[in-house]
Amino acid sequence: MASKKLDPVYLHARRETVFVIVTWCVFCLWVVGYSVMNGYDLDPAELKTVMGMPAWIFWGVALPWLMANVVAIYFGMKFMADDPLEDPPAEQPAETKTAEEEPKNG
Amino acid sequence: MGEDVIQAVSRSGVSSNAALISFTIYLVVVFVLAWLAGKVMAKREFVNEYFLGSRNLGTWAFALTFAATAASGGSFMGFPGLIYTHGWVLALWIASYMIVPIVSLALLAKRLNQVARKADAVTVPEILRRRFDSPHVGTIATCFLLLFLFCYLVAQFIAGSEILTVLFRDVDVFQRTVSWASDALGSGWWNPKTDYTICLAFFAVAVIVYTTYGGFRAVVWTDVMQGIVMVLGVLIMLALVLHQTGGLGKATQEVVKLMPPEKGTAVLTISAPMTNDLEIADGAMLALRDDEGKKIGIVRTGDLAKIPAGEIKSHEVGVVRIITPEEIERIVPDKLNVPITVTELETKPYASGAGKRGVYASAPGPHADKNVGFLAAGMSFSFFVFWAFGGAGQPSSMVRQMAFKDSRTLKKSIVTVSIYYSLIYFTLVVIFVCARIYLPGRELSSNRIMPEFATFLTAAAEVPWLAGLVVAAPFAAVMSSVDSFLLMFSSGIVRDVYQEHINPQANEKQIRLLTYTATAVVGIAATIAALNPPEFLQTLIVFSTSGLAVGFLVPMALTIYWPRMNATGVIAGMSGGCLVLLALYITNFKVNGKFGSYQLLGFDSFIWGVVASAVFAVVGALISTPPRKDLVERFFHEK
Repeated sequence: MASKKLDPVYLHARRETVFVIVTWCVFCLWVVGYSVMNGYDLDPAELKTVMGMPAWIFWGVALPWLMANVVAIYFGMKFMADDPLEDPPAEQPAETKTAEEEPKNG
Repeated sequence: MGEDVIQAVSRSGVSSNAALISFTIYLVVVFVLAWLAGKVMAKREFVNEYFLGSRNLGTWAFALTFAATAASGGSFMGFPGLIYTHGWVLALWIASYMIVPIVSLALLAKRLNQVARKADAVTVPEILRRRFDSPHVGTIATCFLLLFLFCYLVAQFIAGSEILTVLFRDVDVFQRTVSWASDALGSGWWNPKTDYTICLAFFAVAVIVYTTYGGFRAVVWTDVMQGIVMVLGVLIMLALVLHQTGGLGKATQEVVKLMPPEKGTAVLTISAPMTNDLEIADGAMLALRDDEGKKIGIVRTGDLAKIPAGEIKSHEVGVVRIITPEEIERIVPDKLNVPITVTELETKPYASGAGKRGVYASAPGPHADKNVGFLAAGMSFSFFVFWAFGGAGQPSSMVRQMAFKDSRTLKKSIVTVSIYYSLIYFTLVVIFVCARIYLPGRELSSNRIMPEFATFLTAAAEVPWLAGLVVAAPFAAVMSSVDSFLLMFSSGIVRDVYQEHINPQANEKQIRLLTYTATAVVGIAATIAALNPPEFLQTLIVFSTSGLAVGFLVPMALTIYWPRMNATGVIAGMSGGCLVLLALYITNFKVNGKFGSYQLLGFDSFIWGVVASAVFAVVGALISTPPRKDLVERFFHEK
């Protein structure tokens, strides 16, 4: 009993969570770091624009936003595992369940 | 009474019945979807279908219901208002939304969905109760949930009604109804808010009826439709605004020239008393002139001003004084039916950014009261944490994560929601930065900037009927949040209170009846509460959102990922986090004199709440009895 293997869905989800937290840290550093260093208290005479927006917005927000979409596509299409999530209770036709059946502890 | 009043400013009436017609079509579609959902529901098991759509949501349904629910009235009312008031810095403020889809959908979703299936749980408290086999943890979670949810629900009802008030303001039928209702109910306390009350009633009936009848599936289907309306509305506005400005570059150059206005009060005066009452509508653009009649300044009124018959002065009204010379030059004051002079003008410069150009294109953004500006550096970090993890911790988002069909749906949804949010949030920043150029002086009513600007743009482009669709976007955002919260509330009452504590043997008929009743009663209660909104409502919304996230994020993450977690840990994490949050809000009240988030060491209260929740949860779990082996086996090991 005790030697039962850990649920693979749990293991996959844990690995994906680590990826998400690392990704969040990278983007946080990029966006907040860059913007705090380059976007505060600017002299209007020196304010440059890139693609119509203030340059610090482009490099500090718009570009990372685009990259975040690329990461999301990679994560969704490649990194995240396909896992079965179906209900463990046998697939009986879903008649009304009585409350008595429910508090089984497995 | 109303006929004796003379209007000093004739409104141009840019909105029209066309907007009402396209908006009505939108509502009809919502009801048809609810009716179809009701038909589907009749064929399935009630509880699972009504509260979770039988856990069978495909990619589009899941992605759009997730996105639409998260985008509440705040996204389309408060957020545009903030962009308008503080400028480009809002792109940094909202930047965390680039990572919100991946964080909120990949952090918990897959595992949460699996655990909910294993536990056969329909609500968030139910997951906790079954995971630890502890009725106490379920009860405490339900209490937290219902308390915070109700505050949030009321706020959304208010937002929905305000949107309708703006949309219908210039529609004949609506004005006649308001006038008739005002006369019927008499003057006095009722009079000033008749339009809001009618809109509230209309909004409440629409949402309560379709949510009660159609349940979760109706909510999801309408969310999908509303999600599409939202993105279409925003993209149409973007196209119109870029066309109007001649490109984003030109708009930014104009924005760089702007200096923050001054806010204050003034008294409006006429040269001689009149025999009738005189009204000066809110939003009147009035010129300040020197002795020779030359225009030397512009003020915009923020309140309706009245000069009673026989008098020459109005009461004190809120005003915004435009400071930028180019704007003073450009703005054409409203044509007046009666000459009015602005007297006793008292305005105060902004605490941050006053008299400076470029502040709307730079961080921290101007602020009327805060010396550090709108977004101090520490706060930009706080918000990067808040949006991503605060969103992931919302029980409404967890409920959706329990409802998708399979992991393929989840994977595609992460991509879909990422693209969707990019289209909505960054685009909104671009649009409302431009709104500053065309609609100056809206600082006192910035919450209404979305419908106002939509109406302005569509009228300028000579497509007023489009205003209906564009303004339907914020309305759709509110509706798609309200319906979900309404349903969560009733599921809490039915599943976590009634079925758990009062009548575990309830049959389907009883549950069905109670569910319909609970949904309707909660909706009506929220409507009554929204009739007279409290002054600190906005703070209450932020507090509720933070409270829900602080209470549920870490306890739920540990519940599904940490085998050693137990009921004591969950209760300690929830209560500890929320207590710290509350303590910081109270500290702010003591230190700054108002109920709001206290920024200890420059970080938002939410961050301290989450940290406290994590510490309390882990310590609470470690110092109490480990969870039962059979429960760990059931939720963490292969069958």
